[in-house]
Amino acid sequence: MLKNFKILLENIQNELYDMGQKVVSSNEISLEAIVSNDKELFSKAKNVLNNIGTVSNKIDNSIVKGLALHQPEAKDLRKMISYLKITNELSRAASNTKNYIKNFSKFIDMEIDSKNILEFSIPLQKSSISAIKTSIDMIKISQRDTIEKYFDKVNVEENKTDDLYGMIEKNLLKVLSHKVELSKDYLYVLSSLRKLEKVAHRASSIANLLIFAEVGGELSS
Amino acid sequence: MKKIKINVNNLNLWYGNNKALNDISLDIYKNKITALIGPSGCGKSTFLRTLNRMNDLINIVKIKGKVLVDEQNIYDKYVDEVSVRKRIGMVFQQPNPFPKSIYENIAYAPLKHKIVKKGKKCDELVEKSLVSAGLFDEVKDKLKDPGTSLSGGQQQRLCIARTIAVSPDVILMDEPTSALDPISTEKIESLMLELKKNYTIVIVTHNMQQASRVADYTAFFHLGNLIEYGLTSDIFVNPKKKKTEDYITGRFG
Amino acid sequence: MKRKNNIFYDKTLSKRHKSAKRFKFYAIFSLVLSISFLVFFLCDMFVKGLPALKQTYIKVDITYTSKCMKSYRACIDKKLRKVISRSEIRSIPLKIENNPKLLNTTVSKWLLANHQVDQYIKGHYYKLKSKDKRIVDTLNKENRVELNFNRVFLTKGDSKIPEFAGIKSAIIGTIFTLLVTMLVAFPIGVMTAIYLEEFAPNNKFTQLIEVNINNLASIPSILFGLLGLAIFINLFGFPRSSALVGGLTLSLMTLPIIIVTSRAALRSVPDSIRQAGYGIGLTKVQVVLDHVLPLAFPGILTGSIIGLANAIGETAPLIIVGMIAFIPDSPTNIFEAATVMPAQIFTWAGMPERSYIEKTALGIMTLLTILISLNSIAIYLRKKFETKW
Repeated sequence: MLKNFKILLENIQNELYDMGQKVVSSNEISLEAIVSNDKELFSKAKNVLNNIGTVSNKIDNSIVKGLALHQPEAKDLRKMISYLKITNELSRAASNTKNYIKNFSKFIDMEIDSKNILEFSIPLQKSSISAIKTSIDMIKISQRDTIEKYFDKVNVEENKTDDLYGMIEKNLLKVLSHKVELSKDYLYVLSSLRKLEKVAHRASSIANLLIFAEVGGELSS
Repeated sequence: MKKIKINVNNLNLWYGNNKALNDISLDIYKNKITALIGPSGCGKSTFLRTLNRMNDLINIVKIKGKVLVDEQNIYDKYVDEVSVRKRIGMVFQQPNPFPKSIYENIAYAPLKHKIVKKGKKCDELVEKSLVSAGLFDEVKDKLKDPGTSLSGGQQQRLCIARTIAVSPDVILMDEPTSALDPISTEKIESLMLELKKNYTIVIVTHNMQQASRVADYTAFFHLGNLIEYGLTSDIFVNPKKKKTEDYITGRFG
Repeated sequence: MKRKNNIFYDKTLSKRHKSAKRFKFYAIFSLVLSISFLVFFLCDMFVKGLPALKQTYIKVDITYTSKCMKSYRACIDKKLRKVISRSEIRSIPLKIENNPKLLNTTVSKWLLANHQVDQYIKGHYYKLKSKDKRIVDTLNKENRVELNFNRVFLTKGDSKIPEFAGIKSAIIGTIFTLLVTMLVAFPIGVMTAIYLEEFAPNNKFTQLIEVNINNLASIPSILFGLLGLAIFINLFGFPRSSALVGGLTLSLMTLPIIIVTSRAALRSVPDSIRQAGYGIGLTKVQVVLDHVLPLAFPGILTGSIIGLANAIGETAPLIIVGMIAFIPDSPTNIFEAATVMPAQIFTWAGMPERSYIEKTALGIMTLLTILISLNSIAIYLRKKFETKW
């Protein structure tokens, strides 16, 4: 492999990792904001994701250049293609996170039985964070068994979020049936928690793509 | 800040009555690799050979225009073509080591140009050139063997070492890897990326993937005209002219 | 037949094969025919020339007396005088002069026999008086007649006495002549070839020179002799019959061959070598002398040796220049009169005595041996200097 291509690949990988870390860190800070009930942290979490669009475009263009100039094959090709798709996934995860932050921060000001909700939303968030963090860590791993282990972990966490979300939905709908006047608020909370579930989905897609890159096969959603 | 090493100004060339190069103007930048691509017969090799006055060896060639190297026109009447070729060396498509020993292949020109005297200085120069060409480890025990006893890829690196030995500023390469296998090709492409730190390199290649892999700048020639010239990433991702795009996507040539 | 069911069966093939076989037969037949001519010639030479390797010697008692010194006829028995070679008898007084101790002694020696006796002993046509014949028969019965190795052939020059004639002076004359030829033709020829091939511009004048050089190679050689006579002997005043003049004339003849083969050798050097040289900034002279010439050298060498081998065999121009004279002593330098082997053979072939026939044949064999060894040297040198590509 020519040196300039090697350097290009490493740069793309590093930038993708950093972009992923932004999404992870934004989620972590927003969790911190809820746990410590600090509204300022919410805006900090949102700022982390400020130029995520520019970053994503930069990585995409580097990948285009790499494909045009170096015609990679096999693992190199799969890596480049999966990175190209991962920027999309991360962008959407980022917008999911931003949505969640915008909506859930309002929640703190609402007159809702927070303790009930937080009892499930915090584990949900934790699971979601674990899923996305693990999938981003997978980017820099090159041993096959480690990747497969991480892949399984991501899937486990994603399943957990599914379950947790299901439980919250059930609970909230039960409360809703009693306090119909707060239905708008409750549904609001539900939809913002759904975004966290979506982040976990993204993580699962990312992990899937990284397995494709490392192990092979075909692209499948 | 990129510096211009060679500035070509309105270069026209005729082989007898045939016009081979049509008003070419471009700049070759210092310590960069510039690739010349195009279909067969488009004039890229001819253009390369005008950069070091190799076309003067052919009687029926007529040249109009300027080629300025470090702002000195090499076609001026008082410029000696032999000294031009010392500063602007050339590596050819078929590896052509002299039928002498490996040591003598490299040492011959520096001794003749009186760059070094026979003895320790000469040995050091030979070693340095072989190291720069990435060949020293493979031949250090057999410097007295004939140059032709090496494999094709090694012979080509020997020719590169021989060219480096006279300390040129510019190395011109005319399809240097067309006669070689993929492994040797890769070795020489890596070598080019190393060499560009100290030399300006211009390479003609009919394999545009090679141009895309190693070149910083690419010029596309067609029927004696310069169609497009720019950064390699621009040419291969966003070519401006349709002809360029057609060539690169394989729709002709 | 199973053949016809085979998918590869082709009807026209057998005709084509037959025609190929016929052609091959014609080729082999021509080869055999030409070789048989050669073999016939060689056998004939061999048969005629081999007897010359041996000469008849007769054991004779020589009495060295003072009377001998005045008249050498007195030293040997009168009867035997007719059968002994005159060359031996006439050299006796000299021997006594050189070695006075021999005086008044009688020595028994093997002396060279007369050429008629020699032919008689060898079984060829001879002309002996019956008296002499009887003497020889008697001597033979006494075992005083022997066929021994011919010491004279390679150690003595030409002579009017047949049994005393040798080829030595001709060999030395040939060597001197060829030395001159080579020293003149080789440098001039090679440098001309280098100029014409590497430096000359491609215009009408150069083409004219090329055509003329090619034509020179086919001019009848006797005209070169006239040229040599007119210029070297008449104009420059070089000594007639000398190796110098012969050598110069032959060099004019060899020049076209050397030029043409050297040009071919230079042309066969691939252009990539020259391009490589120019590509690293060498001048034309450096490229030609240090890179092209060493590669072309085997070819040039071969061409020169072929030219040399041709020159050895040339007789006609040397006749005009005078080298056909009777030269008994070997020349010591290139200015003395000399003769060359082909000329010597020509001379011997015209002599009336029968013993010259075998000497002519042996001379031809000597010449052939030298030519073959020269060609072998050419092949060996070419192989040795051939750089492996």
